[in-house]
Parts: sequence; C-alpha cells; structure tokens
Amino acid sequence: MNQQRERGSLPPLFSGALRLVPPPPLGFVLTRAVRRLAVQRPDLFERLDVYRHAHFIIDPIDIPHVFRLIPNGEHATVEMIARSKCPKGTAKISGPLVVLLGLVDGTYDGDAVFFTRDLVIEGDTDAVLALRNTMEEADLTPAELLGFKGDLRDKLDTVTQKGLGALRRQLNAPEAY
Amino acid sequence: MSENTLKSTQSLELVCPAGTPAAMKAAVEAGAHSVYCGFRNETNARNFPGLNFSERELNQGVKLARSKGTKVLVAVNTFARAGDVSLWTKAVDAVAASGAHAIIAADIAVLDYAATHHPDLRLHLSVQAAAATPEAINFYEETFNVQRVVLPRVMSVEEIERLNKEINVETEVFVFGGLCVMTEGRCALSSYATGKSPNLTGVCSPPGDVSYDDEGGNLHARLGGFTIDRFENGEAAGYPTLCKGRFNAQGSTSYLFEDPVSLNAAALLPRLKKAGVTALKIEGRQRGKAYISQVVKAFRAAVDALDEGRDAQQEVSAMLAAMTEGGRETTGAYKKIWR
Repeated sequence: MNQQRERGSLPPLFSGALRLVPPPPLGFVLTRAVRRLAVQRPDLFERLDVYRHAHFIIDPIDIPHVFRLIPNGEHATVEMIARSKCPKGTAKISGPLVVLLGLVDGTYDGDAVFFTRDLVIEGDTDAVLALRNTMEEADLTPAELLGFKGDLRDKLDTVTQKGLGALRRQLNAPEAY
Repeated sequence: MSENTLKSTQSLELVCPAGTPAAMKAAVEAGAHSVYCGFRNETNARNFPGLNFSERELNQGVKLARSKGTKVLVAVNTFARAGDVSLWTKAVDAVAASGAHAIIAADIAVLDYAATHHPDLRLHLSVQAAAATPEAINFYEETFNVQRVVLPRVMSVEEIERLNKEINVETEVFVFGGLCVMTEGRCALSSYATGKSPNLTGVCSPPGDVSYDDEGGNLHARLGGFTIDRFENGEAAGYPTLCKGRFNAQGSTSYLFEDPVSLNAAALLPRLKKAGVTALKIEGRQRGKAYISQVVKAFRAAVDALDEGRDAQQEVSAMLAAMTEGGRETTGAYKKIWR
C-alpha cells in the first residue's frame, strides 16, 4: 500500500481494535436502505442498466470488512464480509472509509480521487462508472439513505457532515471541494 | 462598431457540462449561464454507462434551468448510421419538444433534419464537425442556419481572432477539462485499440475496454488490452486515452502525442474575449457534482471579474488546482508555439 492510498485511513491501532469487536449488522441495514431507495427512485436503477446484476466489492481498506453490493432494484443485497473471505466481484472499489463515504454524499469527485490514487478500482470499469454515475444522480445524504425523514434527517445529516469533515481533517484525507 | 468589436464588449457566456440531472442542478446553482447535456444513447459523444438523460429527465431539467435563467443546450452530436437514422431524428424531435435553447449537432443529416423540421430550434455546430475554417463555417451557416460553432481545441488565440473576422456566427471555445489534441470528429485513434469508433458510438477510449491493474505497486492503465501507461507508486494517474499514452519509441519512453494534462485557459479569458469569442465551454459531462460545482464557480468568478475589470487569476487558479487530470494543466493550442 503506498503513501497516497493511506491518506485518510483510520489509525492502524483503531483498525486493529475493530477486529476484536463483533461487527454490527450493517449488511442487513444497508440492504433494506437500498431496497427502499429502489421503491422511491426506480429511475436510479434504470440508469444502472445491465450493471444492476453486477457484484460490486466495496473495500474500505482501513476496516476489517468488505461489502458486496448487488444493486438489483427491489432485490438488491448488501453483504458485509470478513476481509479474509473477500469474494471476487465484477468490480472492486477500494479506498479509506472516509473517502468512500465522501463519494456517496458527493464530497469527492470520483475521477479526482482516482487520479490522485486515493481510490483504486479493479475489474469492469464500465460497471464502476455506471455505479459512480448512479450514485452521483442519487444525490443521497447518509441519513436519507438510511430512511430518515424531515427534521430528524436534516439534523442527523448536519451532525454527520460536521463529524465526517472533522474526521477527514484529522486523518489528513484528500481535500473536499 | 464592427461586429467583432461588439462581440468583444459583451459578457462571455459560460457553458457548463451536465452528465446527470444532479450535475445540471449543481451547474445551475454554481452560476452557469448555459448547461449542455445529451441523451442516454449513441446520439451523443459522451455515451458512458450510467450517464446522461432520459427524455423525461431532459424535460424536467429544462424546466429547472429556465426557472433560474439558465439555457439548456442538447448534444445530438454523433454521426448517424447509414440506413438507421431514426434514433437521431427522434432525439432531435425530443430536444425540440423539451423547450431546450439549442441543439448541438455535427452530422449534416442531423443538421438538415433539425433545420427542416424544427426551423425555430437554434443550431450549434458541435466540435465533432471539426469546422475551423471560414469556408466550412459559412457553409454550415448558409445551409442550415447554424448560429454558433464550437471550435476544435487545436487553434491558437490569434487563429480564432482571424476566424471571427471572417464569419458571422458566434464562436464557443473549450477553456477547461480534458484536452483532445486531435481534430475532433476526425480522430479514430482509439478504434484501433477497441474496435469502436468515438464518432459513431459516442465514446473515445470506452470504459468497457479500460482496465487498471496493480502490478508490483505500479498501476498499469490499459485500453483494449494494450498498456497505454504505467504509473509508479504515488504518481498521479490518468485515464488511458490512447493519444495521451506513454510509449517506447526510438529508444526512449515518452508521451508521444500529448501529456495527460488538463486544459486550463482561465488566464486567457481576456484575450479570448478580445478575439471575439462568445462562449466558454467547460469539458466534463462524465465528471461528478463536486467537480462541476467547483469549476463552474471558479470560471463564473473569472467571467464576472473580467466584466468588472478585475484580475481574479490567482483566486481562480487556486480554486481549480485540484481538479486537473494528472494534477497538471496546460493552455493547449491557444498559446501554440509549434507549427
């Protein structure tokens, strides 16, 4: 792993400690979130075209788990899998957790963090682009993705945005635009 | 006052990319005077997966943009297939129905259809038409009533100024983003590696043929299985566009055609305005909202500063520093010193 790729990574001690605690049921929560999104915004999944059946491996390099996303509309699944059992997918997207989250909420431009090598992609580039462009169009906030609405959503997003901004600065993550 | 002098006293129009409805909203909010976009099919030259607009999205986008005073220009700028032009003519009809400000086209069949069936629809000549001479541009004006031409990125400012004196249509020039060093619409280089023509299927160096492989810490960027570049550990990477590849030739390794750099002509805006240019185009329909927003804000600040007689070059350069391919930029052919 090179110097560039480590920008924004969680401290090794923290990453190591995460291996010792039982993983939260994030796969279940995210599967529900993506399926809910498919009901609310079917246009997004049309945008994915054939890649709604693709297996995307999302690899936050600084935590002990990877995610396998199959964005098949209302049948979408997100699984959290131990890194040691990381499956092969159609494409793999790797980077520090805060960089990957920044791609979801639009903090980062995918091309820019790829050019600076803070983000690594492997496999079917067409599939990665389709997912990236769909995420861009989704324009999701973290609270929105998890199904929160109204004032509570706005408050959670404000807190999350401030927290992530501070964390990015603390971790020397790439600068947001 | 001559027409050219008149042009140079008008405010420059900022034409900004919109690959998705979300990007269009970002561009409008960031201060774009106009946005350009295309349909999600082979009719536009940015036919990337997950990108572009459905007819419904275009209609909604036009409504949103118009409510903010922003014009929408729609690119139907690939070349229609012989015997199968219906996809292109349907696209033209859909643009006309959407209420968009103009259509950007290159193929004479598409231009003819638009001029004949939708005479009120404003026509812009796409850079894909590769029209850079008074003779060619005047032909498009006289034949199809084209009102603006997007110039290829191979002309110097002096050449643009001379051209503007010999034509009656507006000119639009690229000022930021990916730098195409070939005369667009006539380049088939990437088709030798992929078998797909950028001018017909709408994508130069299509992503389906691109792979990035980490080999011993070095990143190999390949197109159609051919290694186009290799980036060492920590070195800024680029997209494997064939004309920006690094190759071994005559005993040395170098970028044979062009370095993987981004065009940035922000410093040349006063000269471009003086040369009679009407509109400034930002490349990047494949880029995200964060990029669009930042680049549009920077150029809008530059255009406004120019109108007010201020110099905002340093401020604009700082805003654009992180947005360039390979982390490097060039003024391209505008300050061309070779012949």
